[in-house]
Amino acid sequence: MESTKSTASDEIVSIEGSVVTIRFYDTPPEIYDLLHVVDSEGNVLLPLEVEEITAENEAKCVAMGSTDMLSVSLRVRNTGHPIQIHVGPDLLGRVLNVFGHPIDEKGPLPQTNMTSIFPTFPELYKVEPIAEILETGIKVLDLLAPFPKGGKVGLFGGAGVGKTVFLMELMNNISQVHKGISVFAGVGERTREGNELINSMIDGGVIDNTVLVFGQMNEPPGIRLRTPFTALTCAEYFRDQEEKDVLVFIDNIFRYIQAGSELSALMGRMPSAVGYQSTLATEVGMIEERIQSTMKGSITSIQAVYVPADDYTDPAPASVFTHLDATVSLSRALVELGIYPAADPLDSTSKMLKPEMVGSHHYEVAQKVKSMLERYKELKDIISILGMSELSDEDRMTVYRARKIQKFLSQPFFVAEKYSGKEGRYVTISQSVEGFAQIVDGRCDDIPEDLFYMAGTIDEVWERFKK
Amino acid sequence: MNPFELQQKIHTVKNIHHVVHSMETLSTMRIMQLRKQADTRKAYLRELETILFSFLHIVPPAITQNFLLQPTKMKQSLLVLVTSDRGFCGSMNQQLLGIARNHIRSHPTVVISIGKKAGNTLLKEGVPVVGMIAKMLEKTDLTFSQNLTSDIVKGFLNQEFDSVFFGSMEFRNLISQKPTVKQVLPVVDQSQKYSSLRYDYESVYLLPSPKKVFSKLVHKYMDAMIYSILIDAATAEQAIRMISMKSASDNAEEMIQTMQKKYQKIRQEKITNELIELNND
Amino acid sequence: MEEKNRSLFQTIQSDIEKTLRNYQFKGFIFEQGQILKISASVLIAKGISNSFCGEMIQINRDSLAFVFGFIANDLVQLILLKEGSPVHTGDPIYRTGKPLQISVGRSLLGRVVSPIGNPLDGKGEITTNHTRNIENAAPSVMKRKPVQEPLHTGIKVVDSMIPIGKGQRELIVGDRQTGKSALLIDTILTQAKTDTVCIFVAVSQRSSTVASIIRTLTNKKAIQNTIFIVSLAEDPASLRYIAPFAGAAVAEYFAAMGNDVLIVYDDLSKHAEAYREISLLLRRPPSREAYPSDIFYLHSRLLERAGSFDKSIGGGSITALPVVETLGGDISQYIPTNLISITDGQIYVEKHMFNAGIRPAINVGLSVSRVGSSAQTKAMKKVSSGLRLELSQYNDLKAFTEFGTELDQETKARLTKGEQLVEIMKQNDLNPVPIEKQVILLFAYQNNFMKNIPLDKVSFYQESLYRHMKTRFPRFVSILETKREISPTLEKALARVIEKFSQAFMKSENEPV
Repeated sequence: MESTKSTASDEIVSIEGSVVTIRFYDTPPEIYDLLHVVDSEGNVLLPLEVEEITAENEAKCVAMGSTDMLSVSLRVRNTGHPIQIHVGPDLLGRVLNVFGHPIDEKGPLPQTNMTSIFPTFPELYKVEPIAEILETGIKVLDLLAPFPKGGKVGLFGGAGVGKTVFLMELMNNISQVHKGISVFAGVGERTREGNELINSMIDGGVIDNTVLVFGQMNEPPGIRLRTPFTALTCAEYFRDQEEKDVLVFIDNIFRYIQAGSELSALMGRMPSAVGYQSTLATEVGMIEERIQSTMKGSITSIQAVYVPADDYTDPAPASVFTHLDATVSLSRALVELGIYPAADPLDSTSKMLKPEMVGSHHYEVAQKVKSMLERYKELKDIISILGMSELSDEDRMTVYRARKIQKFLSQPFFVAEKYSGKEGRYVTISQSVEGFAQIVDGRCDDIPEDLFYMAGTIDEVWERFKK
Repeated sequence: MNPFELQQKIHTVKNIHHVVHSMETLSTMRIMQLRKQADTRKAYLRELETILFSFLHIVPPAITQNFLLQPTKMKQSLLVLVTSDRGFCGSMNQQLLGIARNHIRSHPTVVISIGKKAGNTLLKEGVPVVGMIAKMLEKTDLTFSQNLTSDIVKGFLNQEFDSVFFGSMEFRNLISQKPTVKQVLPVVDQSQKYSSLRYDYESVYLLPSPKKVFSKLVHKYMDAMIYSILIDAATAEQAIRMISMKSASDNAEEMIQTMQKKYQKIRQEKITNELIELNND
Repeated sequence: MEEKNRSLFQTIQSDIEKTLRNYQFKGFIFEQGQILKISASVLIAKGISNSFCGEMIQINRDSLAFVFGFIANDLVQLILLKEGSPVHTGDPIYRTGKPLQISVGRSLLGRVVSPIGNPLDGKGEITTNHTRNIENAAPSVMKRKPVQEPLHTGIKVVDSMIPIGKGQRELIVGDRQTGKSALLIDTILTQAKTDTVCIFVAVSQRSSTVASIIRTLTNKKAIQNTIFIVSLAEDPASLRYIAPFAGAAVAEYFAAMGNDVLIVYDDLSKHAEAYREISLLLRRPPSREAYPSDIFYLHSRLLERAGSFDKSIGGGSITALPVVETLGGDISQYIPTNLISITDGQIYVEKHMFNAGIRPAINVGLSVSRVGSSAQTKAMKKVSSGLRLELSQYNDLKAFTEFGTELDQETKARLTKGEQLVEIMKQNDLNPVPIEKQVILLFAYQNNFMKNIPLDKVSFYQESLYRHMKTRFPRFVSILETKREISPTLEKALARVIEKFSQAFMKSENEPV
């Protein structure tokens, strides 16, 4: 930690949990300013972030670390700015904390080119108004829930549905094909999961084009609150200075809201509906509004959303939904069928799936695919017991094609090559659409359904058929 | 209602849903099994019918008339009413009772009731119910059917009754079943239908004797016909139950959705109110 | 007096420098203050504004408190830890310069202590060379390694279908009196033959309950590996509040030396209540259910201290089994929901199963282990594959038994097999089943050798089969114990032996007496 000889003249008035009230004597600090609690040598013991200026020269701050061992006799110094992190290409492959300091034991980062983690919104003229699709190379997404470049995708699904592998494949594709960058923010989740992710990313070879920022649930609320800000700041650097397409993963956005609600109550603010902070919408906006495309590059985000009590109308997930452009739902049922990625084709959606955005051909194929899968779902129970003979000819045809569609939605991943033994496949949007169009139109009716499993393009399926 | 009670209620309806959905699936399963049997049986029946009526004319009327002669006036008719033991099958039993009552109004009738549902009702209405057999439709057993047939034929030949009708649901397809009264004895002469298949006297020998052959054949024909009727009735019951359980299941699902929405609303309100109270102290 | 104090404080100062980070005291100012206000176990004091959060403060000669926070006008919030003679306003208080600590060392094994380290078992003082702060940062993301080793509980249904690995946090949740504590004891008994250190943290328990647990473990010769950290229901809220953290500190000590540690928290509902009591007395703003808003952080930072650790910090592990009590089976309450979202899975114990005589009363369908199967031995993975699915299909089919007397043979067979599985999974308290025995049993079940065993003979069959294997084929049993996997040759041999045994068993059961 840095140490300067400048005088620390502010005093600590009270320490209650993570909320520290200070008294200042000269110029008042700004909201979100970073203060340092220092010892007699000027060494930094604990960072504080200013949240409120109350009357009588006092400011309420949030401790950005544990208040254990903190004493009222210690002095406080204003850094004069909010939390700042170093940005630069040397962020790639590193694992950081909320302060932008590395925690991966690979050496320090220079304290140059520092930028505040607080938002500076792109000036209006810089915001790219036309929506564009970010091709992921993953069939089920590109066909049924196309990602908007610069948009926000919600990710739902519990444990054990292949979330990690799924995220890693997206990271791989964005770096290999789009020559883009990924930023991962572990917000308030389990440290164990963070460790597993890092190990997987090293194994999968995707860490070199990724920046990881962690503030997990072992940390006090102040750190959990600002972790996504640090991650977004890294993303903005790559978008604006290096003009890249950036994928930001946030796991889990609910924890950001939860941290805010912990602090709001500790600061004595009146709670709002369902106990959340009255500033819920604003706080969510502070994250969501930074995820944008500009003329130079784009930040597209994928946010894991925890839904308390499975209640989608709970204010926390509800306020995130208003910002989402697409959702991906990972389903355990598909995992049990061995279909990876386990994205539920009927439960994953996107605002981009409109004829104006994807073209009428893509749109029609997507709609036909969905209605076939829907019909198959309805008929499944009857089939498993009565067999296919009870169905009308039309329904039977739908079922055969739906099963092929379901298998064709599975895809081998580059990052899973080591485990599956199958080579990964990147499928362009037009290849995906063409493939499903063929199935839907009946051109593949003679191909046995098993040949569609874990394939890339439809041409590959035809190749298999010819053998 | 507090959210916890609502959760309990949702839980109960979910259990009910599970139960009726299970019954729906079970009925569907049974239908599949019965249909397999029905198809073979119907084919067999048709074969027998073809043979029987294609050489009926070779057999001396003296032998056939017992089975074929239609009485001018039915003095005592036997109606075998095939209903279910269980409920949850819509209006099936009501419909069957309806056709039974119609038949009884037109002819003096004694009734054998297969299935508890009908027998008890008719008894209360003063109808002479001479036999009640329960738990049969679930089994649809060939042996049972054969025993029933031979009892009926014996009674017919002993002139305990001069006609035998079966009142049952005819299974057309999964969504269409019709309550039907079918005459089983005397055998309805269908020689006209098979006239093109008639054999010549010269080319057919009936051994050991026309009487024996005819007797055996007509018994087998009765067996097959009655068994077919019973299977059809069983299938019809399962189909009706499947549909009525499906509708119950769909209703339960809808109820669960509504209650869940209500629960979410109450849950959220409870937390908000709790905090308002706490903060006003 | 000054001289004596000065040298005393110099000693304290060097202790502090050893244990505190980031502090370099250039001098130590002796501070004395006094109590201004008392509100149950919460005290407001003045005169010690140089003290720090978490510092232990001595009151009079024999009472102890610690600093919880600071409020305006140089007032300090203290939580009373130990009251010797009654504490009054105006009483003098003295800084100790030490944060909340507990003595740690191997001499704790087999002992029962309070959360601040005082012996409660009457077996004399405990001497150790080390103390450890009760609050510690959890190891960071780089200091961990994947959970890969199994932690066997000896409970069949857990080890096969909800397996726990070393370093995992698995929540035990259910209504009161449903056998939750029994699961903990069985797990501790299973560790007795291993090197795993067990720590039982009792939060707000009755002394008779704790005494009976200690007695049980002593009788079963499992006490030598176990440390009890006990806060009784009548203890001040502070002790109930710090008990789990003290336990975690002891666990960290052993883990840092490379040990595997099992720590059970019985239970965290009471822990949350103690924290609520303290927070409300300190007038912290109440949140949902009147708990303070940082109640999530209370438990998240506690449980994140468990895990599987990298060699650089000792290579040990801490497996945590926290217990939380629900009301009417409602897991959507605030505290259970928080804990479920923190832990790596939950074991759901259900009241109506318990009342129906199914013990352990674990609802497998609602229980989950997020880590488990990657931490099962190969042998167990092999014999438990598909069991969860089988059980859930059986439960679905059971509805049919209420209606369909007419089920086809295949369905009937599945029902029978399912009933048998439920029967196999039953076990009595205090009878943990060693893993080799479980593997043998499940091997018999999976390969259909138990096809004709009637339900009421399943228990007897299990015992007889294991006895048979131990006496006639001890080699197989020891291979399973050591190698933990079933090679194709072993598989064939086992199949032969078990099949023969099962047939002989059926014959002897059917023979007239």
